[in-house]
Parts: sequence; C-alpha cells; structure tokens
Amino acid sequence: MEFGENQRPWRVKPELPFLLFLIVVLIGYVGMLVLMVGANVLTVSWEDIGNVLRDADIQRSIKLTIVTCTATAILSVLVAVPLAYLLSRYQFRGRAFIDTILDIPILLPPLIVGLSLLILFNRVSPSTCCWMMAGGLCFAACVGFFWKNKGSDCSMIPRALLFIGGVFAVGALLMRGSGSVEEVTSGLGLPMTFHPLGIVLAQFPVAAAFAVRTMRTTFDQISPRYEEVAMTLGCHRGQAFTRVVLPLAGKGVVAAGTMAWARSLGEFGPVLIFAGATRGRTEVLATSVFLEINIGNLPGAAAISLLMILLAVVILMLVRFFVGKGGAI
Amino acid sequence: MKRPILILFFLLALLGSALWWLANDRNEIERGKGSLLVHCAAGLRRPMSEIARQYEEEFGIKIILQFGGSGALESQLMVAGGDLYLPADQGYVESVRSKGLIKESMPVAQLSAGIVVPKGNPKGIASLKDLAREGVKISLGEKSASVGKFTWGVLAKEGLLGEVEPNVVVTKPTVNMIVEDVATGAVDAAIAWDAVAKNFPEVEWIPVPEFTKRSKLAGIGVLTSSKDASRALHFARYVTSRERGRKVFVEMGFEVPDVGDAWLDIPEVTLFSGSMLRPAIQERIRGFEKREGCRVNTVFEGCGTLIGMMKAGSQPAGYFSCDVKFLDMVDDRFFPGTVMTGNEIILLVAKGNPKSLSTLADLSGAGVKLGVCDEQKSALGQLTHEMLTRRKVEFENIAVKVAKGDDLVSAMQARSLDAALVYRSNALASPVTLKECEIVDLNDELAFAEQPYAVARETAHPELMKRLGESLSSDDARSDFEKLGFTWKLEEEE
Amino acid sequence: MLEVKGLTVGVGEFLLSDFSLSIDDGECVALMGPSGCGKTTLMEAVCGLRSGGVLSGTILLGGVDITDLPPGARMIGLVPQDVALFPTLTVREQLEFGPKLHRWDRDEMRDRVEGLASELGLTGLMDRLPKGLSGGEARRVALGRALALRPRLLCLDEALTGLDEARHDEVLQVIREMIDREGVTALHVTHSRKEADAIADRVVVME
Repeated sequence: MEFGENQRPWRVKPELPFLLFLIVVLIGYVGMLVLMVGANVLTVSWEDIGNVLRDADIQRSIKLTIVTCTATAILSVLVAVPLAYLLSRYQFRGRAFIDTILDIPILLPPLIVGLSLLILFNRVSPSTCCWMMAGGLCFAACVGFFWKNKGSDCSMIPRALLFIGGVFAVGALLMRGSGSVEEVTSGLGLPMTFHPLGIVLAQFPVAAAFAVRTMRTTFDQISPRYEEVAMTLGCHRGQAFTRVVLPLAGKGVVAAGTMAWARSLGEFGPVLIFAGATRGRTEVLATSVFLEINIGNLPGAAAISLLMILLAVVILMLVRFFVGKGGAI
Repeated sequence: MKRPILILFFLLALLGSALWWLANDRNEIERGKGSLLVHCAAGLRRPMSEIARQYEEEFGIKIILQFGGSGALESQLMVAGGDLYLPADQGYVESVRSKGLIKESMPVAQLSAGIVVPKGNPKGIASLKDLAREGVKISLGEKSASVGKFTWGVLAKEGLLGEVEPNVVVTKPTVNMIVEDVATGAVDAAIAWDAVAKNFPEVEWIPVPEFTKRSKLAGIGVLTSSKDASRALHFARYVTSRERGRKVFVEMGFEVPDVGDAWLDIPEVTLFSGSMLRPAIQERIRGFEKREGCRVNTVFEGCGTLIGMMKAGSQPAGYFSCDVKFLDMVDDRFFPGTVMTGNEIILLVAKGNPKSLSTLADLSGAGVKLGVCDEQKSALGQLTHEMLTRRKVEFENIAVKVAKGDDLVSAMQARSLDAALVYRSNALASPVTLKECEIVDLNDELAFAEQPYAVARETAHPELMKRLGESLSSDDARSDFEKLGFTWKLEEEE
Repeated sequence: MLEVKGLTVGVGEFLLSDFSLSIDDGECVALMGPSGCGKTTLMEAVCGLRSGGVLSGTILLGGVDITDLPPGARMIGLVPQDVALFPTLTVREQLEFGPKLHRWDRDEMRDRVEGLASELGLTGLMDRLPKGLSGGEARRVALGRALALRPRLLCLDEALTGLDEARHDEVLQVIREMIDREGVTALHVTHSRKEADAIADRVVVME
C-alpha cells in the first residue's frame, strides 16, 4: 500500500477478544439455564414421570391449567388491544399517571396481588366499590375540566367521565347492603374465592399488564400516517383501527397473547392466595409443584416442573410455527 | 390477519366456553335414578308426605314412606333394610346406631306429648291426676310406638302408672290412631304428640308439665343398608334444611330445633386447616364430599397465615387448627372447638445423626444449622420459639425460618440443614423422608401441640360441618392420624 | 374553490400564524418554501388532520366551511410524503378502500377502479402487495387511491421524494395528466422549483 506524506496506517485491534467475551457471557447464562433444567431432569426417573402422568389429580391439573391460561390470555388480549391503542394514539392529561397504574401489577409482589383480590372480594361490598369508582372518575373529570391543554384530542371526555361516575354513584346507592362482592357474584352463579373461576381472576392482572406493554410497543411502532390517510378516505377512528391498524398489529397481538399465556402459567402467588390450592379442584400445575413439595415428594415436584417446562416450550414453538417470528416475547 | 371480526368472535367464543366450563365445573355427583325407602314415624305423616312430594317434584326421585310406630319400624328395618329411618325420638336413632345400622343422623323436629281431649274438654281434664278419675276412658300408644313407650315410661317415673292404667281401655300401635279414638269419641282422653293432635280439629291438646319438660327430638338417620347413601343423605339434608323440609314442619305446627342448614343441592363450604393435617385428612375429606354430595374447599396453610386470611375477611365454615392457641385468636367466630389430635414436635436430623444431636441443649452447639418455623406464621413456629426460649437454646444457630413444617422437611431432604424442629406428622407425611432423615424424640412437655376442630358461628351449613367433624373423628380417621404420628386426643363419648 | 382565511395552527412548539391562500376551481397550485416553514402543517390542517391545533381562521372548500368537519367528510384526497400504502392490502384493495367505505355500488366501483388502474398503468399489478412495488408504482397507486372517490381537492406532499431522476419526469407527467383528466383542484407542497413548475399553474412561496 502506498502512503501519502502525512498518512499513517490505521491499526485496528483484533476482533477475537471481543467475540470471546460475548461467547463467554452466552455460555455463562445459557449454561446456568441448562444446568437448572438438567438438575431437574436428573432428579426425575421415568417411573416418576409415569406416576405423575397417571395421577388423576395431575391430569385434571393439566386440563385446568390449559383452560385457565387460555382464558386469561384471551381476556388479557381483549383488554390490552384497546387499552394500548388508547395510550398510544390519544394524548390526554394524566396519561403518565395511567401508565404508572398499569405497571403496578408487574411491580407488586404476587402475594399482594392475591391478597388485594382476597380483601376486595371478601371484605368490601359492591356498594363501596361503586363509591370508589364514582369518586375516582369524578376526580379525573375535574382534572380534565380544569386543565384543557393544547394537546388534548377530545374535550368530551371529562363530561363522559363525570357521567360514568354518576352511574357508579347511582349503582352504589342501589346496591347498599348487599354483602361482600363475593356474596354478590356467588349469588349470580359465579363464585370466585377458592373456586376455579377465581384462578382466571388471579392470573389476569399480571398477564394483562404484560399484554398491554407488548401491544403498546406494537402500536407505537405503527406509523399514525396509515390512520390519517384512512381518515381522509372517509374512515372514522374506529374504522381506521379495525381496517388498517389491526391487520398490521396481528403479529403483535399474538405476541401479547403468548406473553400473557406464559405469565399465567407461572403465576403462582395470586392463585394460591385467592383461589387456594385445593387438590383436584383449584389445582393448576404451578400449585401442583407446591403441593408435591408439601408432602415431601421432591421427585414428583421435579417431574411436574419438567412437565411445565415442556408445556411452555411446546406452546412457544406452536406459536412461532403458525405465526413466524412475531415481535419480542 | 384478515377479517379481525371473525377472529374476535372466535376468541370470544373460546373465552366464553372456557369460563362457562370453569364456573360449572362440578364433578358430576353420581346419583342413581330410583327411589328411597324411608321408615317414618306415623306421627310425622303429614309433614313428611308433603316434603316427599316436593322432593319428588324437584329431583324426580321417588320417596317411599313406610309409616308405623317408631319401635315397630326399628324391627322392620333390621329385617328389610332401607335407606332412612325417621323415628319420633332420637333415642331410637341412638339405639339403632349402637347396633351399627345408622351412619349419619340429623335432628328434624321437636315433639311434645300432652293430653288430648275432645274439643270443649267435656270431662274437664287438666292434669295427669285427672286421668286417674273414675269413668275416664283413655287410649294410649303401644310400647312399640315412640309416644307409647314414652308415655308408659313417664307415667311409671311419676308413679302414676298404677292409678292411670285401669282407665286405659285400649292401646293402639300408632299415634294417629290414638288421637282418632278421641276424635271419634271412643275414648275421653289420650296422650299424644301436639303436632299430631293439631291435625284433628275435633280435639284439643293440653300440655302437662311432666311431659313438656321432657320434649322429644325426632331425628332422621341414614341407614348403613342404604344402596345409595349419597342420595339418602341428600334427602335427609333436604328434610332438615331451613328453606325446604323445616319450613313444611313449621307450617304444620311443629316445633323445630334452632339448628339447621340452609338448603343447597350441592352445598359448598370452606375449611381452613393447618397444613400439617393435610396428609391425614385430605383423602377423608374427599370421601366425605362424595358421600354427602357437597364441596369442601380446603385451604391448608400455616396457622399464622390462616389467621391472617381470616382477619383479612375470609370466613371459612370450619377451622381445624394446628394448636388451640390459634383457635383462641379467632374464638369469637367459632363455636367452642373440640380437641381431636395432638402432635409432637421432634427433631429431624440426617440419617445416621452425624452431629449426634439428641437434646435441645445440643442445638446450641457450634456449627449446627438449624431450621425452625416462623413464630408469626405457624403454630409450630410459635411453640418452637417458646420452647427454645424457655429451654435457653441459642438462637444463633437458626439458619432459616420458614412458614410451614413441610418446607423444613424439604430443606432437610435437600441437605441444606443439619437439623429441623418439625411435627412428627411432617416427618411421616411421605415415606421418602425417612430414607434420608431420622427422628429424634425430644420428650419435652413444651414440645406438643393440640389440634381442635371448630365450626363457624356464621356458617349456613353448621350441621354439615358437624358431620365433617364426626367423619374426621371416626375410627378410620383415627388410624389415619395415628399412622402419621399424631396422638389421638378425642375422648370416646359414651 | 379552496379558500384559507387567516388560519393559525399550532403543532407542539411550531406555530403557523394567520395564513391565507386561495385556489380556483381546477387550478393546480404549488406551495413552496424552505423546510420548517409550515407547508406540511398547512396541508395537514386543510386535510383535517390537525383539528386540535387549529386556533383560529376558516377553511372553505367549494363554498362550504370545512374548518370543523372530520377528515373523512371534507372530500379531500391525500398523497402523503411517505406514500403510506396500507401494507396488508393489495393494489386493488387500496384503490377500492374509499369506495368500499362509502358503500358504492359494486359495478360502479369496479368500473372506477379499473378505469383508474388503466390510466395509471397499474393493470398488471392489481394483486400485488405494496412491498412488491417499486417507488414509482407505489406512488401511482397512492395517487389512484386518493382520486378514487373523486375528491374536490387533491393534496400532494412532496410528490417526488425518494424517486430517482429517471422516474421524476414519468411520475410528474402522470400526475399532471390525472389532474387534467379528473379536473380536480390540486395543492402540491414541494421544495423543488422544478417540480413546482412542471405540475403547477401557479406557485405560492411561503416564508
């Protein structure tokens, strides 16, 4: 190579050390995961697995797990999609506040989620709930009225909030003296505490929080331009949402649903406190492990753990297969 | 993603069916079609016929009522079998139970005996002594009828038998017939149940103190010869429930005892229980559920946690506590408990006892990793804490404090501790444990917990919970407990 | 035809004050100006996409006050700067989007779409997705999509951004032809004199 008068050859340090560093981190972390699963595998014999699979209680636990996780995932997605769209596209006072509230289930220790549900259902009456909702909505409406800033899309919203708050207040008066929330729902044929239906309710807050996060990222990444063009062509917001944005968000929805499914599979704390761990009734795989440990059956617990890992992996692979690499999970 | 609407409907349908399945998830209680045979005291004919009719309408199961004198029925059922026995007096139930023929029983209605005279009381009879007067004709029940046996017995006790007996012109096998005799004018007086007398407008009933102070409780019992015990129990519950059977009894003028369960086709109750009791009672409760056709939601936790949950608003129907101290904390919510079992605290060490630990003092030694339960969360923890404090054991060696004894057993199995203070039942809960560990007895009077069973005051199913308690204290239950290292504390009631 | 009177629009920190503009029926006006002067903001305001930011002023289209109308009711077609074809719809579906929304009669819609397609040279591409189109083809589809409903005003934002030189003339020609054929009033926002001269009847310069 010919050099000019003032040029010096550029030296670049070899790449290998950096690459090695990356590989070491990879081996370290993946290795730890593999060792953890491996330790599980070593504790378990084929006989243990057979015993576990033959056990009628475990079979029912598997069935209940699949049903509840699916229900929770669907519910989470149904809530997350509109909610994330609202947060992504609409500017309003207090958006940051709502964002923080939505993250609460993720930050709270799982037991507190369960305990809060337990107290809400067994200590609080529907009347009190309505008062709380009415109070909160009226407060939000007031905030909305006094702080109309340039960024807000819609000034009808504070009025709507006030109206809904009023509806709750009426509800509070109508439902005076109706006992606790649990009594009301049981009376309607929907028992919750210590009941299979309560499992879904216990899994839901956290699963939905994760689903909202995923969907929010998805919607943030879709340019608002599409909706704008759609609107010039005659769509109102809702039509633009269903005809243009949703098809684009398909992969994101699947990712959110899968995320919610995976979270509810492992959601042990709230389920234990709110739905109990009644063998054969409100027992899901996460609590099965707990129950087996409780009677000193370590191999059985390990077998069920392996089962859960297998289930999670199968579901993830199925989703990947049907949908292709959709977004981050 | 084409057609979001279709996908949305599909998801909603899937969600709906999942939630519906969860809400209605009942392991279908197997109930045979067919019928139930009830041996029923004649005095209860009217209310029981009505109740049977209602039950048939509601559930489609035929109720065959055999009426007769309570004693006669007893002989009958010993020969012919049947499903239920409803005598006019609990005494018969107990007698049949002692012969091993009855399993569960529940009080149904209260009966008082008194003097029955024609309306207007022409002979002016006001007391038992009046029955001894010249010319008074009396009809009494035969000894094979509950009322008869009772009457003759009371008369004898009051020393009036000699005076009254000459006036007894006829005895009849059922109480209805006795009252009929008065109604038709064949006799001047009879002694019969108040409720039966009410059925006859031609008579009036006079209470007398000798009988009123000894009112009788009619009870229904499920026979061991029943081929469909669950169905029989279901009907028995129906008869004694507040909204169904009991209502009919009250309408027909019977006194009903204060206790009684609310009616539910499949009652559902919650039982809080100390987690160390799980291995002993879990299967038994399942069996109880099957037989009663009910649901018992069991919550097994450390007692500290359970108390916390109760204070947070949970209202279990029953509480089987790890120790009486914990029941005392919530004693305003429960009827006084019955101590059923006792559990000893032992020292669990590795097999071979490598550190040679044999007394509490040894636990203060150097390098001993000790595991105990948290004194806030469980009875075991509290008792351990008190024991260690009083026996002046060093707390330094406590490596871990967990919520329940089972967790300590797991930790011992995983070899992360040298010793753990657990209940004997924790150690015996799984055969796996004794492969890795061994038990060291402490022989300390503080190392003991007593487990009481209590029924909640506010529950809608007190009778059901009482029966659950009985089921948990049966002889079979006793052997389950003892196999797991519990000491049986319930005194045999004579 | 289009009359903007004293329009003041604020978007975030930016404020366009007291702007007025007039375009006659069938006229094509190019709006020029340095970047950041507010031309795109103005166009978006006219289309109805910045309704929250319009602080004062009126917009009249064909004599009708559209200042408070939602975008879909203004009868304005928009070809945005980044083309923004709906990624999941085929060319045919893009063109049909507007008519389908307004429930046109099936035959009428078919005729209109096929007519546009042949005028724009898209007949062979009808079943393609946007990712299978070249820059120039995409722009033509966007044009067709905007014109399908026979709007009263066509708004073009930097119609030639991102196209290579060779294509420029081709696309300019297509645009000019369509404007003439459809007889639609057009507003073209651009920073290029050459573009402005090629398409517009009149050029307005903003500060």
